[in-house]
Amino acid sequence: MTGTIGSPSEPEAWDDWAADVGRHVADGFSHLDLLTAVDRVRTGEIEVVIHLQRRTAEGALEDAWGRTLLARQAPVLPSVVAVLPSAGWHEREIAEMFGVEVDGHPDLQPLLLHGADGPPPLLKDTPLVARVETPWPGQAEGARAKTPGVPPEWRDAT
Amino acid sequence: MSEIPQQARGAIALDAAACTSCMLCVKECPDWCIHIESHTEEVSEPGARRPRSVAVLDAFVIDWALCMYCGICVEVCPFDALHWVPTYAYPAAGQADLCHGIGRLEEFGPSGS
Amino acid sequence: MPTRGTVGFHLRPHYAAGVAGEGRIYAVAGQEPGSPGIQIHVRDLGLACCAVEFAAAIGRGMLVPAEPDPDALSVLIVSGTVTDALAPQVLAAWEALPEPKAAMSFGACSNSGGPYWDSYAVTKGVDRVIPVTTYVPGCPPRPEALIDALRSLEVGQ
Repeated sequence: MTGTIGSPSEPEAWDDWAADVGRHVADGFSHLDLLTAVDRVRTGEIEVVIHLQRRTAEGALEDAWGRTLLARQAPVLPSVVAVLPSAGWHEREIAEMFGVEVDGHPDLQPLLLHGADGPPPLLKDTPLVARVETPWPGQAEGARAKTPGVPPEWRDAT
Repeated sequence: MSEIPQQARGAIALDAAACTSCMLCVKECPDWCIHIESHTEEVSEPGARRPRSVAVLDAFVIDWALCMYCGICVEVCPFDALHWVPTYAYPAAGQADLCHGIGRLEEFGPSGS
Repeated sequence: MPTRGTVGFHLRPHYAAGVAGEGRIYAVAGQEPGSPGIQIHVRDLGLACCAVEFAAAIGRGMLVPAEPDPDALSVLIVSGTVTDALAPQVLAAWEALPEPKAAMSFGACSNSGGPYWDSYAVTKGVDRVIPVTTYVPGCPPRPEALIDALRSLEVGQ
């Protein structure tokens, strides 16, 4: 296989996630550059994106971009740590930031959020509590609150 | 020690006389570190048919503990009431002491310039 | 030894020092033992960008390496964003410091959380973790501001 697979804006669909990642790693794309998630709140899915790279004999870098879609209500991602050990930290971050259950991860402890409470921070409907609670100094008296960075649904929920 | 350039972003000085309390700096500050309090007063002038309203600045506070020195407030002020000064030495013994009001903000720069 | 005027990767060992108790000790250049005022020994807890300004103070010769001195005031300079995950290590570095000691918050992030005050992962000011004697404003403050703040500690302001 030569050339680039997928692209950053249009990763290839790898719906059999663990098998597809394993297949590309076996093909030489063994360098993990990126493994992250995007909250596609409008379609009710969490998209997991991976960027793998391999070096050709001439020294050039080839890219493989893959993605899979998880159901937003109960997202489960098969772990690829068995074929890609460096994915361990990336999967821990996806688990704690998006609330994704990573199936088969050997050590799923918090990576960045230690002792933190509340919903996964990077889901788009998780309020940024500091901005909701702090009164905005630019608020004109009597006017309807228009705090920057605070969507109406967060405001009305408090 | 090398000289500090005149355009260095050390602190932001206020010219309170130029401020109309339009609140643009307050609204545009990404850190929410500027606070303004003001009220309007009516000024009657002889010969005028009716009094006019004037904004009076009561308080203007910059919280240097939050400020990230981006300069958006300086750029957005339509009346050039805020400007950069290279003054860098204003440490404080308490976090609250890094909130500077009109007096200290005017001291950073010559008033009226 | 860092070359005067340069700040670069040769300063990496400074960052690799880790916990302040094992880190390098610096003194303000020109401070002679026995001169009036407190001997200040600074140790940097370089967490983010403000640490680069601390490194610049070293690179420009404003801070020079110093020998350990039990009578000197040890100043822990917290330069950079304190994340909730790293806060216990900040506390450990402070507790490992010998008395007499003082902590200086250097830059907006350690003063109050700075531009990241609204983050779910940032401690809103290092004074939530350790007692702070001096707060230096800036984002980042320049090396001259660091030296000025250290000098006011020296005269006990």
